[in-house]
Amino acid sequence: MRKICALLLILAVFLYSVGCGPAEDRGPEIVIWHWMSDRHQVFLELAHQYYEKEGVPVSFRLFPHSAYTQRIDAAAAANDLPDLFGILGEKRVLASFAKEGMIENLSPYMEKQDNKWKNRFIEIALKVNSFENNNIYQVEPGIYGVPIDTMSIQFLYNENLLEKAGFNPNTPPNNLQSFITAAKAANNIPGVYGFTSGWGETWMLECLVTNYAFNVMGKDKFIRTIKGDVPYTDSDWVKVFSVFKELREADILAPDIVTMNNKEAEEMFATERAIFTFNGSWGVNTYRQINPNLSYAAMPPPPANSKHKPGIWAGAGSSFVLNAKSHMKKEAIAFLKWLTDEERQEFLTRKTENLPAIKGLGDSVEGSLKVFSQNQELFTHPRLWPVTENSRVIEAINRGIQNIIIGARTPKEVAEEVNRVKQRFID
Amino acid sequence: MNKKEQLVSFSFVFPALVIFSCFYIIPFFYTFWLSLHEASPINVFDLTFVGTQNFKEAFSPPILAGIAGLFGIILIFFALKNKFKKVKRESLAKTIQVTAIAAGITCLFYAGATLIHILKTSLAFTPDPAWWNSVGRSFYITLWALTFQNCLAFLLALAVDRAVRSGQFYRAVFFMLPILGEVVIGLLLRTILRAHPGILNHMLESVGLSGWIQNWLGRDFALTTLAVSHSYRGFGYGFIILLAGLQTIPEQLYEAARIDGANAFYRFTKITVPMLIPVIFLVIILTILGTVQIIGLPMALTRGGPAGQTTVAVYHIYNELQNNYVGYASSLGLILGFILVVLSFSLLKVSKKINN
Repeated sequence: MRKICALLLILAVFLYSVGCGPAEDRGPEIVIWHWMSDRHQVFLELAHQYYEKEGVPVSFRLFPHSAYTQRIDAAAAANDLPDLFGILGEKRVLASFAKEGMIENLSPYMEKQDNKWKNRFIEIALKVNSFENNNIYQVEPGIYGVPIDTMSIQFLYNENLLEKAGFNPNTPPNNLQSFITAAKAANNIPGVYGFTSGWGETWMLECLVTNYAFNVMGKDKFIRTIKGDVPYTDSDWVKVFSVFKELREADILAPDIVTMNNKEAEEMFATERAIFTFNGSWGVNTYRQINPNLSYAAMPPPPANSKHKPGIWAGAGSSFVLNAKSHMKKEAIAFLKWLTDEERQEFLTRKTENLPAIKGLGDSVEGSLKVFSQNQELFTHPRLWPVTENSRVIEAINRGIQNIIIGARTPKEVAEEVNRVKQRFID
Repeated sequence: MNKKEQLVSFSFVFPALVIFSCFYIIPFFYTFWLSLHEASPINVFDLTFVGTQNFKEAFSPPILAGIAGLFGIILIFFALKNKFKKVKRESLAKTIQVTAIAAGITCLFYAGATLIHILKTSLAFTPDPAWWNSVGRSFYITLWALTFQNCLAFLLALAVDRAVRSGQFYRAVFFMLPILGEVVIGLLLRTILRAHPGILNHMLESVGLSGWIQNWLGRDFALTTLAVSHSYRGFGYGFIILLAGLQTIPEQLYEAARIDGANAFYRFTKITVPMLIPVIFLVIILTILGTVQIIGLPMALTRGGPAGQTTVAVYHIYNELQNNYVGYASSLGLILGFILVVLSFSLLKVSKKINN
């Protein structure tokens, strides 16, 4: 026993001395926190390149996506935020950090030399990180985040399966009825479903609901609903919810669609077990890894009517904000400028298969990723809307849609339930 | 004891006191403080004092008033009946008595004021249905755990107790599942139970039982699937405790009973069960506490779906936190904690009564 204790003691002293050994002194470093596990290796490579070039060390620290927000909140409460970090969630979260003076207004840096840095970016990517004059959050107008890539969420179709089902893959369905007809044809192909999507992750549903709300009632009426001027029991909202009833009744949805996560839906589409899917540009990587020969194309959400155009969620995929109290502000800004120059953005696009955040890189967007940069005229994002819906109302909508899909509620019942939640929130 | 000795004694307790305060006492009071606040809709760092609003939302004002009134009456009753006389120091007992009366009067006053407010404003919205439904689901799963899981654990413990030679092996095997963790089991079961391409459905089809194929994670079965999955994962705990309990029963009792001509059933009902009562109650309490607080399994298995049908109480609290309703989530946490404390103490009382 004594020998074991002595051995443990020696081991502890050894580990302690190794742990406390002098680290390589690289001087003060820029610390960046993020959650992007798929991009971490590329970030480390870029940090190395930057150190070689500028002599400024950059340390990227990765945290699990599920714990990232809590980590940032805790650091904010302890006044211990890193120099650069990403903020997940609704715009009000970004607004809260800005209002509390925790993150820097980057407009002065962006607008230097006649907007030289600002003009690099794709407009929508920058807008999602900006606050306009008289914004509802009462945040000082300006740009508070630097986008490093962009994304869009679109309808995708498997070209081979669509052809097998008897349709021309060059002319995909252009309205809800033709979409349903094409998806129904999947029943003739053994083991293939019409449509799949990760609707267990309810924000994917929220995304599609707003796309159709734009289509059925137009953006203005949609915004007026969020403001509380139009009730969710309005006939247009019932029509929006009815889209999901039609999908259910047509029997085109993959089983378990309402508990399926995005990865499972991606796997289903990649292994050619569904003709259509609804997914974001981040899926390109998964599709290529699972099935390099998958042949697919994008199309806008098939409109339910021709009154208005549907929306497509797009914008900044990931952004970094600057800690207003950072001692490395100058260095961090220089690094962000370097990270968003043409060469680095091309490198990021090529290595991570995400859409670039800056203009003029259309040529470096290749193959499958290109389909996600189509239909740009329909691009929108909740962070661009002047108001944000209450999270409980969004939850009620998502749960309601799931209830419609499993046949537990009618669109009208869901509209009434959502309206009840909204009323409670307004009161 | 002189001052120096007192200081030395205190220095031994101090580290434990610091740890206990930091990780138990302060978080409890912080949760209570948070439950009286709410984050602003436009600034998540800005907490506004809302009083009992969060509790009103969870219970609805009339029910909260009723609970407060009842609690007030109980406190005053206990104080007047001098139920605190067990406290050794008389001065402390007196302080507790006076505090209880004061708290009781405050509760009654609050209940009265709320009722007058309700009558004046006809404000009487219903309790938060999503929350109470989630509590209901938690208790549905608990019911499964108390019956199916614990019966299975008991039967296995009895079987293994007879075959003590291979007992260690079974102990290791059955305890493997709880060690694996909720999320691992959840993901594993999800692969098996998914409608397409689920392993279970595939197997049923292969053996010609196509009629048995179901959407196990769908509308009709999701909650029961979750309950059975939880029982499957959790029976190992009960098994280990019950087996340990069985092995403490002296063999001589059985031998004496055998000599007296008692058959197996008689030995089981007259020796095994009575001797195991405290252990059984311990398993029941641990099962309730462990089951009502599950979150990892529904997260991995169904993500709370379909349409929130497997969103259990703690998952609901987690969702509220994710939506930045920090105060409301804290108040729900306190309500759930209170329910569990009351249940546990009631069971302990019953257990003591049966033992006596």
